[in-house]
Order: sequence, then structure tokens, then C-alpha cells
Amino acid sequence: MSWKIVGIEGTVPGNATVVWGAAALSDDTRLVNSYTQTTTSVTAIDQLQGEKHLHVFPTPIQISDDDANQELVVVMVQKGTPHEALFRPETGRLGGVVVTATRRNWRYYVFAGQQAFSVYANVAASAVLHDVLYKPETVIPANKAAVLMALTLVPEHVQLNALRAFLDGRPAAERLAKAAVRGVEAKQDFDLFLRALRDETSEYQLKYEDGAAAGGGFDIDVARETLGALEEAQRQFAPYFAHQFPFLTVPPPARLWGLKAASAEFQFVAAVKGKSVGERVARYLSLRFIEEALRGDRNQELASSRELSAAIQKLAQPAPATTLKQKRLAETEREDVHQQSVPHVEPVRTRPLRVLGFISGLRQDSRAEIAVGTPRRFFVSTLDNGAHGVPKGAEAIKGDGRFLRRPSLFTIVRESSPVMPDRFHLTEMQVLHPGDTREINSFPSSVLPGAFVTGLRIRVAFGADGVLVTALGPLGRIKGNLASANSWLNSFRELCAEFELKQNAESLTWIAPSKIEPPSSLLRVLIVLNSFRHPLLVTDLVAGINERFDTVVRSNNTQREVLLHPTYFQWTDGTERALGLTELGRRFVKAYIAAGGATDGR
Amino acid sequence: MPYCWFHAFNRDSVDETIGVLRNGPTINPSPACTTRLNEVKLAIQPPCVYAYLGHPLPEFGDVVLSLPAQALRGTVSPFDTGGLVEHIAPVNSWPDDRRQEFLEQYSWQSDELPELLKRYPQNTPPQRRAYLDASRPLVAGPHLLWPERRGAVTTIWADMSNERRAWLWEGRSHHQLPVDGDLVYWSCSSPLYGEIRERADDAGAADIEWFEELLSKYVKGGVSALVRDMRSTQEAA
Repeated sequence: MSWKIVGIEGTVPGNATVVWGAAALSDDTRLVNSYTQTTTSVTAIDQLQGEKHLHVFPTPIQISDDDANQELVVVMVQKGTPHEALFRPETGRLGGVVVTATRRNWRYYVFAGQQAFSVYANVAASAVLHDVLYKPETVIPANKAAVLMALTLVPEHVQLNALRAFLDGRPAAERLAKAAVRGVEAKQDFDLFLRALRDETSEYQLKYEDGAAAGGGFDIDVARETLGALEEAQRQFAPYFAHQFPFLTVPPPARLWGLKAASAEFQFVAAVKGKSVGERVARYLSLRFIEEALRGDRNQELASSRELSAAIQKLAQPAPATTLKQKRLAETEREDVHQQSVPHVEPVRTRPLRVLGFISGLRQDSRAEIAVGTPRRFFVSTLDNGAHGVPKGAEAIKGDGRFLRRPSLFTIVRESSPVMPDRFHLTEMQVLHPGDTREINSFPSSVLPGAFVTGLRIRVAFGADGVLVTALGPLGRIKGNLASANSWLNSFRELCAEFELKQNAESLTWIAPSKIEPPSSLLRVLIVLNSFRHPLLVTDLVAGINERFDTVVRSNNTQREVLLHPTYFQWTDGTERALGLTELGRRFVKAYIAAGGATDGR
Repeated sequence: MPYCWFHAFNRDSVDETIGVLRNGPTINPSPACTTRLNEVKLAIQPPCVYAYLGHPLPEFGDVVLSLPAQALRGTVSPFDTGGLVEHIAPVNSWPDDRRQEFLEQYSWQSDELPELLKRYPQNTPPQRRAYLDASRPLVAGPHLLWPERRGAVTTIWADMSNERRAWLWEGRSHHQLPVDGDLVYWSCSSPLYGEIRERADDAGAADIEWFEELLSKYVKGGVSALVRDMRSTQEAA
């Protein structure tokens, strides 16, 4: 069988710079949609093209049978168009590019799935952000166009949307850009970044009194140590800054703008004349890190670095009995900074989680991409188990690749730190062979992403006939391809989800996610209804949600969740219908709470 | 009902596309278009706008909107009616009057849909999944699920030359499919999304709230991405 990509879904305007979408695959008999796997006769291609549902390539792009099984994403970049270079993927650096081709003016890049495409899209977004923010002139139409192109790749990108609002300047553009950003935290990040873009005048002030500042001024050794502590704190933040804002160059040390006479007051600014918008934004955000660290705000992710802890403590109190007030960038009044002991935070590790999954890929033979039913696959080292040893059983990852996509048991440990994303360490692995029977003790939770249900004993048997069976139910016959692996893992995930909801929440043990996200719209409805013993009128429900989560939702948002998830809700009869939870809905929210989910707006 | 209606479409201008997303699709007025010609052959009166339950037709698209199952007021059938004229064997080879009779036998008012779904595709998660995966039904034709309709015995579901349009629930609404604030999610090709964002930024005060709502319901990646993402939502509900 010989597969080729014959087109991309939708239309491709002649003047477009970058276009992306689902691939249309053909084996000369069938036409297959790479996202949905729906199939029709290849004879339909002319009609689909004529009706503008499909853009057909001048010449097809050949791909292998294995690649044809993946959820291919096609990206087209047109040569000679504005900003083209920013959207051209660096295929040598990016993973997951299955094939590339050139046809007339267009370059084609085919990605092996949504995750690979997302990496490319975010890299392109960062390239556009960096290009626009560090240009001599930022607020020009050409930059607005580049940002819009990037938004077609990542419509919900926080900083891209903030930049679009900034470049446009109109209040409507700001509202719409914020509407495109999803999630409460992301909208807060949008507000912050937009403030950083717009603020060209604010000062950040540190004012010391008493102690070493008694009588006005600072001895120069205290001043030197205080400014040194600020510099050290910013230096310690640099890796986190680079991770959060990869499109910003890490800023130089804070710009000291002024010292108030006869006092120990330091004034800093983000805007420095002649510098780019990018540098101003970087300085602003860097100063904001200091503000938040001194406030000890719960949202502030303090680094686990002892050096940072020490620097912040020194900044807060450079000498005994010395007090500090800070005037934050976005405020006009000073606030007290309380001397705080910021303990060093060691990374936290979970207990070993023994889970079922498969290895979907290898990077340079030392990092394995594993799929265990979490929303995203993740990489683990096959050389380091996190304790400077080699994972037990990792010698199976050698040679001919037969271990790929085979049912396997992985013992993993999740390591969490406030300053870095979660990491998983592989301590042991076993590729299952026909005839093997093993036990797992955990699976990813379906009610709270990032959590694991653990403390279990679930038998997994790989029969001699190639059928995989678990104590929760059968998973079917195993074939060696990716589609089969995805299929049985999806089936297992569904069985686990059913199990998680069937048990009483009190009888299960969860490991919560390292970072708890605010509850979704659905969960807000479930949480409020669960907190009452009786059904609620929609108006009362909406009021309850707005109060508990400090938000503003409308009744049609709430009703939409009910329409989308009817098995969780039931209406009472009568002229005034009230909304309550079904047994399934109550089980779901109880499990969510027991797993460690957030139940209010904090 | 866990399912949603999907209407895939394209228009010649971004303003027309926005009009459809806001007010709902209306019929193509041209009497020479394929849909109108098929309606004449099938005696469908008055002209209708069409939507499909669970996933759209065709297999690829430029723009798609999704509406809750209760939002369509009209008539439903367990196959694509346009397909009866050209694609779905053996009905596509029948004379018009026999086709019309077949269509009438397997058409119901849309408010009967909850009961109809209990017969096809039925309500268990595997059966919902099979429907959303466009799997061929396990019986040869609708006559076996609705014997009381005394409809023609056909093998439209078993005939291997037929594709998913032969077993996809179709809803048809006279003249227009109103959106009325019921839009669940929508998607479109990436260049069109850029054009819509530009239009949105130029919107006047009267339209801002609507555009905010629209952008918050956009699913990136195009028609197929929306279908894929909503598969699990519809299956799990």
C-alpha cells in the first residue's frame, strides 16, 4: 500500500503566508481525513475541491504506511511572502516532522500529530513576538499583520493576544483579544503582559526606614549589599523568566533611576530611553517578580533556590531593625513589606506509580516518549532514574524497536518544583510479552487532570493469544501499530474512568497534581450544586458561582454546560424548574474534590 | 441528548461567513444548485437547510458550526437525503416517486429524535462511539429498526458501495437554521480565522459582545479538529 498526502482541509488563499490543517490522505482508492479518520472514495476529490472543502496539492506528497496512521498536521509556508522566515520551521531542531516538500511557491511540512505541531506553533509564536518586540519600531501595520498570522497558529496565545491589543490600541481590540484567551489564570497573565507593554512611565520604589536607614540615607556598604541582593534575586529568577517568556531576552540588572535625597529610597524604572519595547517589557516583568516575591503572594512561584531565598530576605531586611515599604509599578501608594523567612523548597517526589502504557518514540536513544493515558505523553530518561542510577529493565530499549508501541509497565516518580515544570523519572520498566501477568498500582485520574489514582492492585495479563486483559476489563487483541496502541490505551482509560466513578470517593487514594488549576466551567456548576442538598434555580446557581469563584458568568453559560453534559444533571418537574445533580454527577464532583481539585476561586 | 448538529459550509466573503455564524445558514436561493434540484426530485418542500448529527458532511470543510441537538426544528432522517439521489444504493437507481415514498417512510419530526436515537444508534457508550466513528450499522437497513413504518426493505446500510452518508442522521430545517445564541462551538480554516479576527477588531460597540462570545467558542485547527474534539464530548455525555 502506498500512501500520499493529496491535500489540506479548507481553502488556501493565494496571498497567504502560512496555512495549517488536517491532511487528506489517499492510497489511490480511498480519501482519508488524518484527524477524524473518516473515509470516502478518492473519486470525491474533485467535488470536494470544487466546493472549496479541500485544497488539492499540484503533486501529492508520498509518506510511509506507519506515518499514514498518525494524526498528521500539514503546514504550508509560501516563499516570498511577508514574514515568511518567521514561520519556516527549523526541521533540524524541531521533532515530529514526518516529511517536507516544495511545490511551486509553497513549502510543505507535515507534523506527526498535534503535539509536534503545537511545539512548532509556539516556537513560531515566540519568533514573531521576539521580532516585533525588539524592532526599532514596534507599533506599525506590518507587525500587526505578523502577529495576526501567528494567532492563526495559536489563537489562544496569551502574549500574542496582548501584543495584538497593544498594537491596535482600541478598547474593542483589547476585549476581543482577551476573549480569545482561555482560563482565568491565562486572562490574568494577559492583563499583566498588556500592562507591561503599555506602561512607559511607572516607577518601582523601595523605601527603607529605621535600623540602617535611621537618620536618612544608607551607609554605602548596606546600599551595596541591598542593590547586590536585588541583582542576585533577578539573576536567580532568570531561568524561570526564560522558561515563562522564551521570546524575551533576559533583561539586564534593574535600572536605578533615582535616589531620594535624605532618605533610603531607591527608584527603578522599566522604560529606558532609546531601548526597545521588548527590553522595557522584560524589565517590567523582572521588577514585578521582585514585587511579588517581597509580597509572598500565593501566585508567586518562588524558586527552590537557596540563593534566591537569601537574596529576597536580604532585600526585605538588609540590616537588623530596618523596615521596607515598596511602591509597586501598577500602584500609587506604598505598602509594607514584612520580613519573611522563605524556606528553601526541595523538589517534591511522589511515591512510585506503577502504570500501564507504551513507548511511542525514542529521542537519541536516551529519552523515551511514553503514553500512559495522561492528556499528553511525556519524556523520561532511559539512562537516569532520578537517583543517578539506570532504570531497571531499560536494556529492553535497544536495537530493532520491537519494544515500541508494545504494552508495557512503567514505574514512574513525579518530581515537582515551583520553578520548573513537572518531571517524571522512570525507575523501572517491563515490556509485556504474551503469557505475562503483572500488577499495576496506579492510573491517571479522569476527573482531575494531573492527578493519579494509586494504592491499587490491578492485574494485567497479556494472553498467549495476543489478547490483553486487565482486572477492569478486556482491552482486545494487540497489534504492533500506533493505531492499535492508541486504541487499547483509550479503552483502558475508559475502564479506569468508569472504575474511578463507580467507587466511593472515600475508598480511593489520589496523588493530586503538583499545581491545581482553577475549576472549569463545568466543575464550577457541579461544585456549587454539590454544596447544596437540594436543586437550585438557575438564577440562584449563577449567583452561587459568581460569589464562590469571584467571577461573572451568565445563565446561558451555565445552561450550555448542562446541555453538553446531560448525564450529570437533572431538572425538577414543575413550572419553576430547578437543577440538581444526578448520581453520576455527584460521584464525579466528589471524586474531583477527593482528588484535590480546587473548589473556589482562590 | 449528548449529540450536536453540525453544519459545514463556505461562503465567498468573510462578511457572509460571519453572517452565517451569527444568524444561522439560510438556503441557497439558486434553483440550479444541487441541493434545490435534489429537493425537487425528493419532493422536499419548502427548501431546507441541512445539518448532520454527531459529525458533518462532507469529510472535509472550510467552516463548521455546531448546535445542540434540541436546536434544530424540522425533520430528521437516518441518512443523507441528497445521497438518495446520487450516492446511496439501491435507492439512487429508483424512480423519483419510489424514492419520495422511501423518504417519507423514514422521516420524523425533530422533537421525536430522543426516542429515535434509542433505536439507532442506541444509547450505550460503545454504540455512541461506533456512530461517532461513522461505523456501519449492524443491520441492513432502517426497515429492521422501524418495522412499524412499513417502509421499503433496502440494504442501504449493508451495501458495501455505500459510505457513511447512508447512515448519518440528517436534520433539515425550513429556509433557515437559526443559531439564536445556541452556538456550541465553531471552527474554520486558519486563514479565514485571521480574516474574522480582523473584522472583529473593526466591530462597532453593538457587535463587540457577540464577537467576544464567538471568539471564546472557536476551536482551532479547522472543521476536522472540531469534529475530533467533540467526539469524546458527545460520546462521554
